[in-house]
Amino acid sequence: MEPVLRRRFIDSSGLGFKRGVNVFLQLSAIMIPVYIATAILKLTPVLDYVSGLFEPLMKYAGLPGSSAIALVTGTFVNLYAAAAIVAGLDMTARQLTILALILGFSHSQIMETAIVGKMKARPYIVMPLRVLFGLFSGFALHLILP
Amino acid sequence: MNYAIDTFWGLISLLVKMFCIVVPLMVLLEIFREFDLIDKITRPLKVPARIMGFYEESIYPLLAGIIFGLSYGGGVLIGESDSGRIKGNQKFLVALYLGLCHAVFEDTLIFASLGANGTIVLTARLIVANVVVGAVSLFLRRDKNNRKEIRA
Repeated sequence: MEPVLRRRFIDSSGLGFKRGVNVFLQLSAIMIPVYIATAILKLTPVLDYVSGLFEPLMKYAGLPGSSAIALVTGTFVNLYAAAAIVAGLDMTARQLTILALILGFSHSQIMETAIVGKMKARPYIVMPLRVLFGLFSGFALHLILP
Repeated sequence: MNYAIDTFWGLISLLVKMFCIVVPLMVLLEIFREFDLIDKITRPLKVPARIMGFYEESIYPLLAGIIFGLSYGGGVLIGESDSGRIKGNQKFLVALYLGLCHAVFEDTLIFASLGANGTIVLTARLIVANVVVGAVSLFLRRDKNNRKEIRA
């Protein structure tokens, strides 16, 4: 490689590395406390309580009431936690597809809303829109799917 | 106690994974920028992005987020907004799009592996994300003042 090109390559990589580490530190500053807070939340009865509120709504998306806990856990914690619960439930492929779509829009909300906040990109609008379009898409898919 | 240890290792692996994705993404971005390659990569997406109300600068963070996840696209966006390249409504539109639609492979596979129909989930997610962001973008551009802001 020509010396000039090599220099440009090294300089830009170095700049990217520095900016990458800087972004990593900024994200860590928010993700570490939120991750720990979410882990503590899982120990409390809050998720069970919220699931109770959602149970009657589930039938409008063609889902069993018992899947409310998977929906709420996915929304607050993350998709892996929701998948672990779903694996223990007896759900049809159709129900799984609907649940996956709702959770696709609205999951890991504590962590991801914190990150949108860090982006200074109106988390107070992004978060409710995700929940709203998640539920709406689930209801709609229930009507469309045979 | 086991729970605390699991949480600790979960956090460590999350941070390691984040470092291993965010840093290379930023290095690539700076190399692409130095050699004027971003333009070549984002050119095919320029027209659809413009129709949706996105700027060229937003395409790279959007792609990073759609493929890898909100944190990674968000991380790139934080880097770009620190340097003043992306701001205001543009940031909001990127965050909204990524909020609705990110890590499309990982998220889809988690439930497809349990028996959900991945094709339906992914297609529906892309359609809804594009319609919602398109509508919000139109709403933000409805008068001239806002149009200026969104172009800023």
